[in-house]
Amino acid sequence: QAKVIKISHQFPGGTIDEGDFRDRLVRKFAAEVEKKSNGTLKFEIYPAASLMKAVPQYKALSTGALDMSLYPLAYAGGEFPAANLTLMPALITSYEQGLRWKDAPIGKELTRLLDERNVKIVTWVWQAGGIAAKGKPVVSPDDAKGMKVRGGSREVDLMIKAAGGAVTNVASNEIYSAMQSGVLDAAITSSTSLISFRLHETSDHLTAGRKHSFWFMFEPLLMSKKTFDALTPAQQKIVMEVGASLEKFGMDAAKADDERVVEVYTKAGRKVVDMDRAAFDKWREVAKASAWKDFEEKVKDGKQLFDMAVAVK
Amino acid sequence: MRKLWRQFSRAVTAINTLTGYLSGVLIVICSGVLVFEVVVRYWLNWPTDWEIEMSIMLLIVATFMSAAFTQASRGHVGIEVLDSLLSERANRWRGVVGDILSMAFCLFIAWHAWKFFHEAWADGKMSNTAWAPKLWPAYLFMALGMTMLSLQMLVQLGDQHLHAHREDEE
Amino acid sequence: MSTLQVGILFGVATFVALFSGMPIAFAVGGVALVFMLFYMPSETVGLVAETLYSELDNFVLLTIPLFVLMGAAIGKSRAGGDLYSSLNRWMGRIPGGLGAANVMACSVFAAMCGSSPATCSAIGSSGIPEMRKRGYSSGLAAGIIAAGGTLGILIPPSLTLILYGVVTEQSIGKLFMAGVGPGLLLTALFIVWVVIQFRREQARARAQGDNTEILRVENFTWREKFETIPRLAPFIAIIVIIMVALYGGWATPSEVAGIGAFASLLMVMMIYGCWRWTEMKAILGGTVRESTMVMMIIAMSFLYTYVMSYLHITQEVAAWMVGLPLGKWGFFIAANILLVVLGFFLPPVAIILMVTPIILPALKAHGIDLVWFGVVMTILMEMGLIHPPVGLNLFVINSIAPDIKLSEIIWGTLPFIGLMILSIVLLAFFPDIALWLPNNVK
Ligand code: NA
Ligand code: NA
Repeated sequence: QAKVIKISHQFPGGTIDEGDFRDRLVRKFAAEVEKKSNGTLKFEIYPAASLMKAVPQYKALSTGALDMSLYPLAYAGGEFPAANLTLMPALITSYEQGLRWKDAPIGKELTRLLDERNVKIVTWVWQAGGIAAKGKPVVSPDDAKGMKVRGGSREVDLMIKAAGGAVTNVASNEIYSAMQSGVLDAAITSSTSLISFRLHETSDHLTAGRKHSFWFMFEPLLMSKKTFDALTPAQQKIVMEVGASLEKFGMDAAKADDERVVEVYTKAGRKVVDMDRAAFDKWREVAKASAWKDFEEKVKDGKQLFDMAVAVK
Repeated sequence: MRKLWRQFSRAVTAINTLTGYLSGVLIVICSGVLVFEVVVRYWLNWPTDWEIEMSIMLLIVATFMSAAFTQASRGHVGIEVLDSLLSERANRWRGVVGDILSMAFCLFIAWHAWKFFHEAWADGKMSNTAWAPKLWPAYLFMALGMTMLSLQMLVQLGDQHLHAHREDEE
Repeated sequence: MSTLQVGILFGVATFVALFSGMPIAFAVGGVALVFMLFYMPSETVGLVAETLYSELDNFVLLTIPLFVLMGAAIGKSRAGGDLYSSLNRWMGRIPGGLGAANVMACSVFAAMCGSSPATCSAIGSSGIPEMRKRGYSSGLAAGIIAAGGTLGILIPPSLTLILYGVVTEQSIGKLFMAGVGPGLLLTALFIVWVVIQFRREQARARAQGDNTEILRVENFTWREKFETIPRLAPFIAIIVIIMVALYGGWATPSEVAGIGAFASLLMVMMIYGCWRWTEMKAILGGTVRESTMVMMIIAMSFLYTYVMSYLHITQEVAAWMVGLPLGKWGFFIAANILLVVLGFFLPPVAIILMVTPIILPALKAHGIDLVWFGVVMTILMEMGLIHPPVGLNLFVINSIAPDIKLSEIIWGTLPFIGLMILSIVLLAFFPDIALWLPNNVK
């Protein structure tokens, strides 16, 4: 009898060929594994947080209450502080660098730490992001001064505060209206979410991350170790192989969305600016003094982890 | 024995009444926090990175800590269509069984909420925001609230039983 | 056991538990828990407290207690009575005028708030007692508020339309605009029904020869009417503050709840002198009693939704429906039936998240306009809020006015469900009711 594996994620659902690439990646994984395992593994996919809320997916994975999730790892930072390294502003500069983590000491250490917490990384996925803004574009840290910004994560918020921005905590499903009415001047998130939140309808500037971005987020496909251990060795091999084979798809699709977000905003009549190297470097200075420092000081072995991360070129 | 029970019952109800009104005060405080947030953000351009999270906690605490107060006046609404269809005796039994099942459910949740609290407390679990408050206090009140709710149900069951018993004697 | 069998068992168990008379919250939660214990791995049971907490950890949802406080401050002080006696001077001559005023108050409130139970509670706390005082039958008064309250998620801002827009990749701005026409249509239909029903109740009273309140005709001079303006001023001020805060970029729709509650409390303290503990006690006690009842039902129905989603029941039923060999309208009707049935038990947000991704490809294949369907779906979700067994607005009213029997509330609300079905039929024949505005306004 086939074993049914449940995969949950928070992104909009579509089909294997159409829609949010994070959902497509999950569907491709399911189809491929089902085929290669001759139907001994079957999948139920729960998009749009239709099984559980986004944040607690990590806990569910680690206890075995959930089999798999495509999960922004930094969400787990409250109970697993080291995870905040995976959404550290201005740390990663390119997709390729992000993917090199996998075989570098930092990747091995992250894998080990997650393994201790009963979670397994199946597919390494990174995603860049940009800034939607109203009134004026946010490109360098000076632009953020006095603006009401939604950073969306602890580390990014710390950096924005250090840049003089008024960090504002708005629920993700209220960003749209907040931007429309002017409660919010700017919001930072992934290119794909900038599209699916439809902020091109309510903002008027986009700072695109296709050339440089201080915002790179790790959102791997994860599997509970409990689920993984219950598979036969042959099935385990299939899962890991198919998982790894999708890393290129993930990177290409994420890059495509970095371009697509520009198209969508341009078509909606918004002004698009690319972040340049100089602005990125300024952000990095601000991040170093705020988010980076905070991580090194507050997280157990933070300094060590940071050195390993910075060592990846 | 009976006297002891009465005292216990009165004490539980009194505590729950107090926490009920205090929960109302928390909701008022929460509205104040939100007004503060809106004012300082719009006119002073201050960062507002803790107000919403604080409000969420206040409102969750208020919800759980007033569940027993609401139960004390039987304020948790049910569908009462069988009331007029069954005999008084049958209705009384139905009520008792319903109360016992409700209490069992709430106890189960309370027990898990205590475990949830204990884990967060032991691990020092924090919220992953710039404010980064510890999360155990909110979980503690969830556990406490569900426990007091179960106790309130127990007290109501006991009082009913005593009452019915006295009627039988008379 | 197959998913279908488990699903049927789940449905039957829910009906039995609900109609046993147990509190809704614990009945729904208890059924969910039993099915978790029998059909789900023990690890999911271990996270039951976490599941509950994480579902409540949502500010948009938690605005309900604040809106309830706003309603209670007005309803439990003299402010509410004052407001309605002023309204009555203006609307008293028109048969059903006060009922119509309540419907309109609901739709104005809906424009400030994205939640239906909150709308219901804020307007109903004073609206229901005042209407009954003037002779409206309990059922009619309850029906007006239950149905009027549902406008909260149709008239923008609306949380459900935002979610629908994200899931279906439709313009949220267009969806909001598409909600306006049908929102006004429903408001108008409700008013017409209120006037008809009011006249019937008057005629009945006349036939019985009763000299009841409903037959009393009061005549007010213009002078008496204008005298009430200063008394209406604080309320108008509160509405203006909220509207400015919402549309002027001060606050998000959920932060507005805090402003409304704070302003209302301040008003009853300053203007109505409600600062003694006995008065505050009534306001605070009423607020927690009602909001906790609603929040507990919402929390426990999340547990219920989780079980239903985990067991894949909803998804498989939706997938089965999509597979039926139906034409465009056949599919449309089937989808309507499915959404109504799911609305028996599940909250709107859960239905949108679970069902929309599955029926979306079929909607596109049949060439159904997705903005239009979003509005239809919202109206169906609204119906779920006022029809049994789990109709959140019904319970809100049961809690505001505990002396009205639930059966009376349900009978009084039934005609309004008919009007909602009528509005869907009208939308099917005249899609422009929804689509004219988004297609013509840039
Ligand atoms: Na609304
Ligand atoms: Na319902």
